[in-house]
Amino acid sequence: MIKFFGAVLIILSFGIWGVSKSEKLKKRCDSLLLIISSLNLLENEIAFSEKDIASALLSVGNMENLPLFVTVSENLKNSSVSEAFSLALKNSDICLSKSDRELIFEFSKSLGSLGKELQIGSIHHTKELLTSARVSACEEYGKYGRLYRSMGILLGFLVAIILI
Amino acid sequence: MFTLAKEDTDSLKALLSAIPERIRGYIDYADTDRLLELRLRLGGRLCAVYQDRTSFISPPEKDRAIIVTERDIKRALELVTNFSMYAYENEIRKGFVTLSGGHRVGICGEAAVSGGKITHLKNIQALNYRFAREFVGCSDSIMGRIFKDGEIKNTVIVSPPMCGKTTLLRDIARNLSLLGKRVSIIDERGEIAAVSGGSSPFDLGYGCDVLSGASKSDGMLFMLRSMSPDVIITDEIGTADDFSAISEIKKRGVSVITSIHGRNLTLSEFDVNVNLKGIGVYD
Repeated sequence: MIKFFGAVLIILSFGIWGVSKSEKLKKRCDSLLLIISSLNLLENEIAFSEKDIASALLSVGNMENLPLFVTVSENLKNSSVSEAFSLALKNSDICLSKSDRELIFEFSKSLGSLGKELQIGSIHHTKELLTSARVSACEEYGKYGRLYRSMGILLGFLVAIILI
Repeated sequence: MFTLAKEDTDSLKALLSAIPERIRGYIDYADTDRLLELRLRLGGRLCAVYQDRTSFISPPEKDRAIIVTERDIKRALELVTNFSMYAYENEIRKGFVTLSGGHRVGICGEAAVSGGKITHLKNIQALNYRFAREFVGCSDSIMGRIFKDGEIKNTVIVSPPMCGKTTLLRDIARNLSLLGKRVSIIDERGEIAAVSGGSSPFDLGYGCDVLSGASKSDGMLFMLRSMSPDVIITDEIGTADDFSAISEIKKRGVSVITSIHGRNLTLSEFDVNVNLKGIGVYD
């Protein structure tokens, strides 16, 4: 009986591991989509409302339910734009890869320091890069998502069999 | 009393928060009660401008003035524009940004020109923080001439820069509103009333109608149509459009009180330089 429960536990643990790996890939796709969508709104804020960057980020962050932008907006009280983004990215639990975070940080370096036309151009460029990253992320999820889920269960069985 | 709108701490905070942190620490070494301008020039000394003199700011323990660095200029721009250059493009193109509280920051650098007009400024070389000061009662002695026989006289204040034209106009607006007159202020640069979030940090008496940000010529006609003023007050007229708008206002029986730049003008020079007599405006 104990062995049975032990086996179930092992299979479940590995199964959850596999699902979480798969979910992480999916979440990355969703996070990138959320940021691209937020950048669309940010572009509109900059182009039409001419709000200052802190207000624009707060407004977009609340509208899109993106805590990252809300945190950056709060950080701006005490730091520059790039510092605010760096701190927010470091402490955020948003599901992004290291390269995604670097991309956003690079974007933040020019945010607020350019005229309107150039700023919008910079946002477009960043959106293109993020879209490309999202396409790769979704392909990765398509390729490996199911694999991780299946592998988790199978590994669980394997370990259970070996141990038990 | 001459004050830095001290009663409004938000106004003072807005001003100080737009000065780079490194420079902010040195302001205490200036005579802040009488400070009119703080000038930052790249590679130059930190400079304080008062009514009667200009001096370099330096702490007592140092034997030379503070030198403004490129980092100071960059930081100043970030703070003045709230890290949002795109939102202040028009202002920067005109050469100044108005802060909350009516304080003005003049900006100069390398101009990019297209079609004979400045399209934007780059390589910013200097900033000039101009402190807005309130002098309640400064127009009391001349109100008898401005409001006479139940009538508001059309008035032009002629003065060189930095002599208090805007401060005087503000106090005239205050006095006229206290007389129960409908006062419309065209505040193109946000210096007269400095309205922010719907309220002004200055004493405007019982209240004036303020149009901020619009050009003087458009603003005067706008207020004429919308607010039925007894008097329109605006600062520093000078263009043909301004005079044309004033001509229109005169036809509607509304008084105008305004200012122009000038020094020691005789009446004939005034008539030549300022095309107001031709439209029969000033009294």
